[in-house]
Amino acid sequence: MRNCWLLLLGCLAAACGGNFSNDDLEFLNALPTREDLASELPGANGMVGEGGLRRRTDALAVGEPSDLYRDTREASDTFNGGMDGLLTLLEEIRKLPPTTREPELRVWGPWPDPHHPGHEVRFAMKREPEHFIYLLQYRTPGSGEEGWWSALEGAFQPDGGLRKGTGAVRLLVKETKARGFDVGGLANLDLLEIVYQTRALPITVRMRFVPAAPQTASEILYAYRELPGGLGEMGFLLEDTDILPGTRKEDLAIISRWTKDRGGVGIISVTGGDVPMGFTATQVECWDASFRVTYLKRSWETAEVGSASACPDVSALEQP
Amino acid sequence: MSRLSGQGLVLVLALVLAAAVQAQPPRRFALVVGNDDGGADTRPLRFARDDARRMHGLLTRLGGVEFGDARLLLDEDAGDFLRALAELESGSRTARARGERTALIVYYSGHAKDGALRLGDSALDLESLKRRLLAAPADIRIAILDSCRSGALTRTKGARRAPAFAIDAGAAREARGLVILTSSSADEDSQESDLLGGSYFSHHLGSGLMGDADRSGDGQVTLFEAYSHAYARTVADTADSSAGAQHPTFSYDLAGNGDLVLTDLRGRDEGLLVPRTAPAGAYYFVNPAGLVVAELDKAVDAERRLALAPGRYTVKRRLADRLRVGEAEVQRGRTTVLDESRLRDAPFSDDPVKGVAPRERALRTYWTLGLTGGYHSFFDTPTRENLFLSTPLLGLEVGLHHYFRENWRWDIDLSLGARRATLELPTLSGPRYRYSLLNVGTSLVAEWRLGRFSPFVGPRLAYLVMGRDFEDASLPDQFYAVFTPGLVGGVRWRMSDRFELTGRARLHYLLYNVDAQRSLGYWELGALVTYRL
Repeated sequence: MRNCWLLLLGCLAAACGGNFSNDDLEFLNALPTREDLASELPGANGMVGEGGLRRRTDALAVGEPSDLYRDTREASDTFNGGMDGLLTLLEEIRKLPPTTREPELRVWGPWPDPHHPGHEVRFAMKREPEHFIYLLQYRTPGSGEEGWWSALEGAFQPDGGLRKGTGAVRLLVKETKARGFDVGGLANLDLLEIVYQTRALPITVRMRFVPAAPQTASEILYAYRELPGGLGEMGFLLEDTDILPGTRKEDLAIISRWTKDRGGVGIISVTGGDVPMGFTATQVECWDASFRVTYLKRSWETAEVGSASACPDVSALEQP
Repeated sequence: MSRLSGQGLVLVLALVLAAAVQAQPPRRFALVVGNDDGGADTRPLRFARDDARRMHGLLTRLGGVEFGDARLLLDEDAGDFLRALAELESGSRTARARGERTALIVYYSGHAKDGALRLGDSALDLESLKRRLLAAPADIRIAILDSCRSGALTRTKGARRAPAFAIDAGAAREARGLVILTSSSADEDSQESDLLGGSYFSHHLGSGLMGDADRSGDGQVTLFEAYSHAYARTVADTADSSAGAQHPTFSYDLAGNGDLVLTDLRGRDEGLLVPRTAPAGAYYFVNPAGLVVAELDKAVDAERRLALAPGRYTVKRRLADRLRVGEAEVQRGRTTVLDESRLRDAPFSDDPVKGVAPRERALRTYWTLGLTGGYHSFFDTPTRENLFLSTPLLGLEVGLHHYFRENWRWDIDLSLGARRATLELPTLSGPRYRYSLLNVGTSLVAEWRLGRFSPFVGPRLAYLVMGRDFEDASLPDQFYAVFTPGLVGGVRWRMSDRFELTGRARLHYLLYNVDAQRSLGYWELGALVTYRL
């Protein structure tokens, strides 16, 4: 009989509880989603044939696949790939209820990390007066509270609405590599930093790839803006890179703006290096919904390919 | 106005009555009424009609009432009562016009409450009945009321709880010719016995009329003897009952008439004779159904006669250590002499008195099925605005009535509620979601019937599952499930035999422990339409 009562109490206890929490929602609201940060360039990956900035040599004709779209696609994929690990991690966190709930703290874990045997992992969020901060941390079992070290740190200042606010995420690649972790495609970096704002339109996301210290490669900056309706902009800045014939290095900037289904416009700007002082080499290229060239104009050539009137209207994105 | 009391009064009264005994017996009219049902807010009786049948049989067999001058009403209402009384009054009036002396006997077994006899859903005011009897065209009027609190009718007329009663001489001159016997005093219940298959009072009155009350041994049972016997035995039998001792009352106002012989056993061969040589003590006569139909208290060297109806009886004597049991058959028109020596010894476990099986339940168990609508809300404002929302409810409910106990109801209910809402939190506002509530509960309530209305109250245990599904996929669906104890109360209104309408309120306690441990309370108001299955 005693066992029956214990069983009944167990069933009753199991039937109670849940995750109904307003605070949980506020904490989760501080985490960015793929929808917030990922670049949404029309056209699937690999839809257009291979191409690249460095193979840009010959003039294109109207109707040919757009090289600049292809470059934008590549930049977008790199941009999204840089955040994929972060976003995947956050999506997993969202699926799980917090392990620890305190008035100003939520902790998921710690759990043994199957990807890094011999380590425990936890994700901790703290609410402060004006913003939330969060950390992805690892430690070796038994190392105590002091043993935790961070592989990722983020912050978010909410603005009241659903994922509306300003945030920043830093993937601490250098520290992670120093702990002996395999960081995959980020091995050549010391830091990947993402800063975003979703408070007002257009939402903006800036990504900074900081190369590993011994290397001479330059930082790469990506900037992404998005407006409702499929209007998007991807900015790419690569400084001190040898892109033109000659021995000196130029600064390369590409800004691509696109519509949801009427193609886009790309502008390549090269300054410094082998470009004459005070002169900017530019190339404007427009493509249609099937990513084929409709217009091409290079600053160092007088002839145009196609008609500028064929370019889509992306003026809404020209505002800073 | 003088007031007599004590043994002296008894002696005087006995002398007066003895003279009256010699007078020519009056023509007797009898109205015998039995009704088990006392209408709303009373519990049905078991043996009121049986008591009336037995009394009707006794009066017509032994009481000098011609069959045509008797009326037996079973489960009839107050209107029928008065109409039958009017018929008998008319007959008495006619007989008196011919120069006959008449007596009118009214016997009632049933419910009485709040100063009125309760015949089903109808009522007959006791004071009105008394005035009616006072004015009845009969020389002697006898009312025998076997009902709860019937003593209210005699309380104002010199009735006492003891057989030694007083007579208000002044009142006697004004209200002559009326005798009232009641089974209980003004503040007592009249009790029934499953073993006797009737009420204690009517049983002992009837047994006394068959001869057990014939103290004088003259073969006649007078009104006084019958009452004295019924009083003593009723008090003795009910002294140890859970309801307490029941004290019959007597109001005697027979100015100039004296006592009245109710049954005359002289010259009747039919019956049972316990000879002088039989051992003294109590004898019980049990019918084939196992019910005691008569008792006899025999004294030493005294011959006793009992006017049992023809039939077979089991005779029982109770000794200190055993029973003496035997059979006796009373044949029509013949006297059966009991031979005690032919009784056999029997253990107490072989008691032939079986009685009537206890009634399983006066109110029958039944199920109801209902549709309910209501509203659910928490007392705490922030909670009901942003956590557990106020919600309308629709549901089903099943009720089991009078199963565990009379006037207890066990309910199982299921209701659902849902609504759309927008989240408004300090750092997060705007997400749309659907809030839903599942409410499963069980309650056990006690009801009090007040006519068609039945207020009720009782504990309830509910299992609540509250959930919210957000339109935005980045926010997780949430739920909270918990058992919540509470109270439910309300009023049930019986609209018809099958349909009932209930209004009710619930108060519950809920322990919330996700964000923090908080004690919350919520209320529910609802209406319920039920169908009796």
